[in-house]
Amino acid sequence: MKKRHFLFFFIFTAFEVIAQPDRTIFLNSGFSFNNNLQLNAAKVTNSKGYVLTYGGSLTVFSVKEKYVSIGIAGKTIFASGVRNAEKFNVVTLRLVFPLKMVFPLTEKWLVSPGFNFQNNIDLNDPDFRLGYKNLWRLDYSVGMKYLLKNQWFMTTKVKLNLQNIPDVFFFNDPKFALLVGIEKSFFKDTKNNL
Amino acid sequence: MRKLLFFIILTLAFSCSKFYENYELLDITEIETELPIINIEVNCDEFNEMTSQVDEEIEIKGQFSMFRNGVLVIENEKVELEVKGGFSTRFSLKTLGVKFENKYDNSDRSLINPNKILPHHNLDKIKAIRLRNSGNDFVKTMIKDLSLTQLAINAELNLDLTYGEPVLVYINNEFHGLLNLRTEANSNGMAGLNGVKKDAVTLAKITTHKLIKKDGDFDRIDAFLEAINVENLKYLKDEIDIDNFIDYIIFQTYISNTDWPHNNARFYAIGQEKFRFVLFDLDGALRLRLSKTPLNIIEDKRFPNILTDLFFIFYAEENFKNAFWNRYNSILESRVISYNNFKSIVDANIAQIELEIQLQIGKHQAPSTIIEWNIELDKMLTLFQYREQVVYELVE
Repeated sequence: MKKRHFLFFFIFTAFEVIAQPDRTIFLNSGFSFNNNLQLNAAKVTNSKGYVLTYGGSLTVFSVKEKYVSIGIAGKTIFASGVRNAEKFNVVTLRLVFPLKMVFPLTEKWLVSPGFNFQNNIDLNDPDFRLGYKNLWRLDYSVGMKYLLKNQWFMTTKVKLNLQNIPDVFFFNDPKFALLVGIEKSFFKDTKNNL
Repeated sequence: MRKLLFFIILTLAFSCSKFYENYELLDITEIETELPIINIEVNCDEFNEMTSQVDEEIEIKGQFSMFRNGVLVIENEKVELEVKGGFSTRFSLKTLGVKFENKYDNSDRSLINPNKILPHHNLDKIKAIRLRNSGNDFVKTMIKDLSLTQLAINAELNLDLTYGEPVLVYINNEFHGLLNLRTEANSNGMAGLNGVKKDAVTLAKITTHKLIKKDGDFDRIDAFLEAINVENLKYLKDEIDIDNFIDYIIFQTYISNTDWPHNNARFYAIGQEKFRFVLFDLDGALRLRLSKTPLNIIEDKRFPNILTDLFFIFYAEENFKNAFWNRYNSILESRVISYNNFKSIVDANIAQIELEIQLQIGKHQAPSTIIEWNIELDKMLTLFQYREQVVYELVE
C-alpha cells in the first residue's frame, strides 16, 4: 500500500462514523487582495476584491466534539485593480467545495482549519470542457467560530493560496482573503448530537 | 437545504466572469486600420440561413473585394462561401471557407501576404482561403493558431502548413468580425503550396471518430492504412517523407497540442511522391498535458488513431529513434523554437490587432473586454514558457 493510501486509511479509520450527519448553511463576506501581480508583462496595482461565499455543508465524520465536514458553495468575487493606468472591475463566480475540520476550544469557541477546492476557469469556458492545466485550485483556510445562540455561529476566516500557479489565475480571484460571516447548524434527533 | 442547493445550481448555471468597461463599437468608417479589409457581397437571406444552419453545409455565392492600406486590391471576385469548423461553429462569428471561382493570382501578394514563406512553398495561385475565427481560441486570444504557425515558419522546419494574417471582414459593407485569413490545409491548399493542380493531390484527414479519404488515389491510402495495420515498416518507409514526419511530430509535441493526433491531422501526397503531414489548427495547444513527455503526447490513449500507431511502428526501430531524438535536440539547441521567439511573434500580432480587437469586443463580446483579452494572452505566454522548461528537461 502506498504511503498516501495508508495515511488516508489511517485518518478515516481514526474517526468514529456517526449515522446521522448534521448540516450547516453559511454566508461569508470579506476582502481579498494580491501582492505584486503582473498581467501580460504589465504590473497590476491595487488588485483587490470583495468576496461573498454562500453554501451548505454536511458533517461526514465525527469523534466526540470534533468533526469533519464537506460542502458546496458559490463564491462571487467583485475584483478590481489598475493595469497600465486602466482601471478594471470584474465579477467572477466560482464553484467551491470546502473541506474543513472543526475542533472545539471552549464551549463557545471552535477552530476550523481546512481546504477549499474550486474551479479556476469559468464553467462556460471551452477550456473547462476540453481540459486545462490550471483548471482547479486549492486554497487553505483557517477559521474561528463563536456560538451565539440556537446553533447560530459567528465566523471569521483567513484563506490563502500557496500553489505555484501563474499570476493570471489570481487576477479575478485574489490569493489572500479575510472573511467574516454567519453559520447555522441543524441537527437530526440523535443521542450523538454535538 | 434543497432550496439552497437549487439556488447555488441556478446561480452556477450562469457562472462566468463578466467584465465592465467602456469600450463601445467603433464606427468602421472612422477607424484607421493597417489590417487588410475584406468585403463580401452576398444575399442576406442566404447568408443568414448558411450561418444559422451550420450542420447543413450550405454553400452560397458571393463577390469578394479586399482593401490594403485603403487601396482596393481585389474587386468583386466571384466566390463560394461555406461555414467551416467543428465546435467553433457554435460561436457567434463563424469560420468561413471562401473558394474562388477561378484560381486567384496572388503573385503580387494582394490576397495573402505573410512575412515569410518557406522556400519549398508557393503562394502565387490561391484557389481557396479560410476566414477563421481562431477555433476554440475565438473567445480568448484570437492569435494562438496564427502565432504558433508563424513560429513553425520562422523555425524553417520541414513542414507543410498554412499562412495567415488577421483581417477585418465586412458582409455587405457591414462590420462582421475580426478573422484570420488563412490558406487552406486541404487538397486545394496543398496543391497551391506545391504549385500543382488539385487532381494531383491524394489527401486523407484524421478526425476524432474516423479517417476520411478526401481526394486522389484512395487505393493508395487504403494500402497505406493496411501497412500500418500489419506494421509493414518497409512499405511505410517507402511511402512517408521521414524528415517531414519527424519535424511534424516534434513541433506538435513541443507545443503540447492535445487536440491532436486523434484529430486535426492530415497527410497528403503529390502524384506518386511520398506522403507528408500538414500542420494546421493549433488552437488546441498550450492548454493541457504540459508536463508530459513528447512520447506521452503522441501516445494519446483517449482516442486510438493511425498517427499514434504509425509513429510507434517507426519508433520501435533504433535508427528512427536516434534520428528523432537527435533532431529534437538539435532544434532545442538551435533555439528556433523558444519562448523569446514566440513572444516576439505574439507581441507583433498583439500590436497588429490591439485596436481592432475592440471592434470584436463591441460586436461579439469575444473576448469580453481588453482586460480579459490580456488575461488570455498572459495565460498563453505563461504556459508556453512553462512548456519550454518542461521540454528542455524531458528531452535533455
